[in-house]
Amino acid sequence: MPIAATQTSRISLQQLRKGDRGRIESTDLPADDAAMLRALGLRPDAPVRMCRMGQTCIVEVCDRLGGGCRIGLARSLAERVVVRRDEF
Amino acid sequence: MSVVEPKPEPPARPEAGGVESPSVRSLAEVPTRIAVLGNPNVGKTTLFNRLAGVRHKTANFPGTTQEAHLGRLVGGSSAASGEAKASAPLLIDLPGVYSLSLNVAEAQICRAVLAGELAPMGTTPAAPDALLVVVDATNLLRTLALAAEAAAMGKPMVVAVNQMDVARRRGLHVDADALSQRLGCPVVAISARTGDGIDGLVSALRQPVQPLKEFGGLGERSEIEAWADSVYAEVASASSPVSNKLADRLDAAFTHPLVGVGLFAAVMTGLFWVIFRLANYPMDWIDALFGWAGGTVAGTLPEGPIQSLLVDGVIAGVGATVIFLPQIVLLFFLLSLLEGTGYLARAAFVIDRLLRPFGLSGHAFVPLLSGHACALPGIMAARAVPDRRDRIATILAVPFMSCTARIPVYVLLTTLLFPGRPGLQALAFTGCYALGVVAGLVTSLLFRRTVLKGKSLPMALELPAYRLPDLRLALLTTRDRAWVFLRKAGVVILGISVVLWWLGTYPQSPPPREAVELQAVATAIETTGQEVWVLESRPAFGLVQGEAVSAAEVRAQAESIAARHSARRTVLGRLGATMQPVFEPLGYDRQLVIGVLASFAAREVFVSTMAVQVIGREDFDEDNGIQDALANAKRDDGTPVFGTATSWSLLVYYVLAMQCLPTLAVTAREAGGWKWAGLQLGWMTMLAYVLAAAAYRIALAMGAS
Amino acid sequence: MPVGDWQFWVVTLVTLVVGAVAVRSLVPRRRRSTRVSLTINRDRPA
Repeated sequence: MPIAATQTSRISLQQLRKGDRGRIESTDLPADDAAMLRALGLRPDAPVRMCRMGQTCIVEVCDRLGGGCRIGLARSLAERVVVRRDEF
Repeated sequence: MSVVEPKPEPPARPEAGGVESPSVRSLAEVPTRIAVLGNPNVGKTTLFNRLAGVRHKTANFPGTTQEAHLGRLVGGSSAASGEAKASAPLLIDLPGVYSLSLNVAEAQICRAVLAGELAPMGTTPAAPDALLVVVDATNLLRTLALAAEAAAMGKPMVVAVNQMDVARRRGLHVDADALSQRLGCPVVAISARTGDGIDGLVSALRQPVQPLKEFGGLGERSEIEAWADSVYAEVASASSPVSNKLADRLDAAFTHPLVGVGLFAAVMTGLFWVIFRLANYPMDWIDALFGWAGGTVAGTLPEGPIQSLLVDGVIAGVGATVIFLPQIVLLFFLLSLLEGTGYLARAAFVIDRLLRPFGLSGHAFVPLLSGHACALPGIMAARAVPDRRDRIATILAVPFMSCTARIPVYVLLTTLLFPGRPGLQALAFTGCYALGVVAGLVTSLLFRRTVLKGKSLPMALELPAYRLPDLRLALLTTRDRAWVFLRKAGVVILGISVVLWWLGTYPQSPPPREAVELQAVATAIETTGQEVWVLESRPAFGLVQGEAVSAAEVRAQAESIAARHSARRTVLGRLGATMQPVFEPLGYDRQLVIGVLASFAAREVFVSTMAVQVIGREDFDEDNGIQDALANAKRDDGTPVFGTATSWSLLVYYVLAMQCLPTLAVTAREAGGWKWAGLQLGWMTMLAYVLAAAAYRIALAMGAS
Repeated sequence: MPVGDWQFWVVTLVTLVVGAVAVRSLVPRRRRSTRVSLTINRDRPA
């Protein structure tokens, strides 16, 4: 079931706008896919930044020091990753 | 807490500060087998090359297409003597993994190797007695998790913190001493790219230490992540906030739906321009070398079957394939450089959108691209496609790409179709490439909807940081891959050349009456000095009506007639006559069928085979000579061999048909079974046959001869 | 067939051998069943 934005701060990764920052909350994916994303760095509480939106998006997993990596994600995965958007 | 920088001078002891009593937990002896473990994109292979030097080998794991590099720990500035090298620890560079617990092939292999159940081919399986875990200073938090997983195995280990030079430029600091304290094993800060810290790492690897016992209890992913979080907070610091503006801009351009595709097209055009441009020189040298070798053997050995086998079978056959090696090597090298910049991952990302509708993933583009040089490296490159169905679909699509071996055939046929009209020739040439690509995509779509039905893995791909490519790594990778290509293809190509030579030579038949008579005429000219005039022009032999001929010219014609006569009566020639009715709907006569059959194993022999069939010799130094000869070649009934409709049909046939035995062999190996090779052969042959027959009919209907 | 020519027999033998080697390299070797454990080996050496 696709994730609906029931609360303003809790949305799917797919719904982050370019430049938005947030934190991963959970994933709603088959175990293997979820484990893969988690190993790639998209784990609970990981800070992310949306670099490019689209059919396949690019998110940056960036820690407080600026270390991290960029991950390209298909829409079908991104819409099943729940994030808390940082509000400014 | 001190910040440890890579030290150019080798330290007396490895930077394993803080380990209370390393002697208790370290090995009594230098380890004999060290497994190198790390995330993808942490510079693991560059480091391996530093540690093992250039003399290492690449081997597959049995029953898989996964590769490992194997070498002895000889790196560092204190180069070991020959004897010490032989007894130096064996390094096994494992496939890059994000986590050991994942349900993917790479992780399964790492687990099996670490458990001592699996080893690369040519090595006996044995559990490694030490681990080298490579982490990335610029992505420490994530890569630390793998170090914790490795530490949980309780083997003596050493951690290398790579990319320290990049981290320093970005204002990131990693305290190797503190990390060493938290792990309980030596930690060395290095830069594999610049070589900083390698000496320290080499000495640390001679004394790996078991990590702290507390790791034995780490099991849940969340526990590992919590450990990594707390360690990261302690060992990492930053002097200034880091911005990635440049990477943002580059990503925005390279992955843009329009700009990105445009840049991709430009990069690929440039790549192929360089390949075709630069490869010309070494290809000429190889051509000259094999020509020289053939000439030397022909001059040394007396005329006879053995000389013919060596010159026409071995040297000509192997030379015809090795000539493509420069293109293949250049392709490997340039792709490796491009991969090092981080661009290839972005290109895969862009192309994913274009290829998805055809059931292929973005990972398929390197194989499809490589296929335009040669299908073999293309199919081998399909290993990088993570999903099995995607991978097989890619392997089935690759041989439709117009490889270099098709070019001589395209050149011949487009010239015959449009003599003296280079514009139309170029258009037809481009059309062949387009037809190949379309056929490959349609093939993939068809099979992904039927035998390879199923959802493919959605794309989740790390986009590595942009950096300057590593020339040394590219050169070593190219060397490895070129060697694999030569070894795998060499035996098959040699076998095919020799067998085809035999089939095209035996049984031998005595020269026909016409040839015997001409020989007698030549002898008469020589003995009596009589002048003889040509009654009928034969441009292929340089005979013009009304001109005087020499004995040598008459002899040449006699030999040519004898060769044509003989070629018809060989096994291959008889096979051509028998099979001709099958190719009747495509418009091919007996001679063309022999050309098609001979090039079944390797399509590049078509032109030389046709030359033998039609003019009785295969030297085609004077390009126009062979073109004219083939254009004027007549069937047994007197009509041209290469009629317009027939030429169109042949062109379509050569774009689509599977005429490369080595490709089938590689397909069987990489796809995991001969059924895929059989499917490929059957499907491509059927498609080629049907569409070539259609092309023939359409051309006839449009008034072509 | 030129059965009286010794060179014919040499080249035929060479052809058979080279052809056989090529065919053998094409046919995939029987895959040794490699057991791959699906769990991480957490046993520590004593």
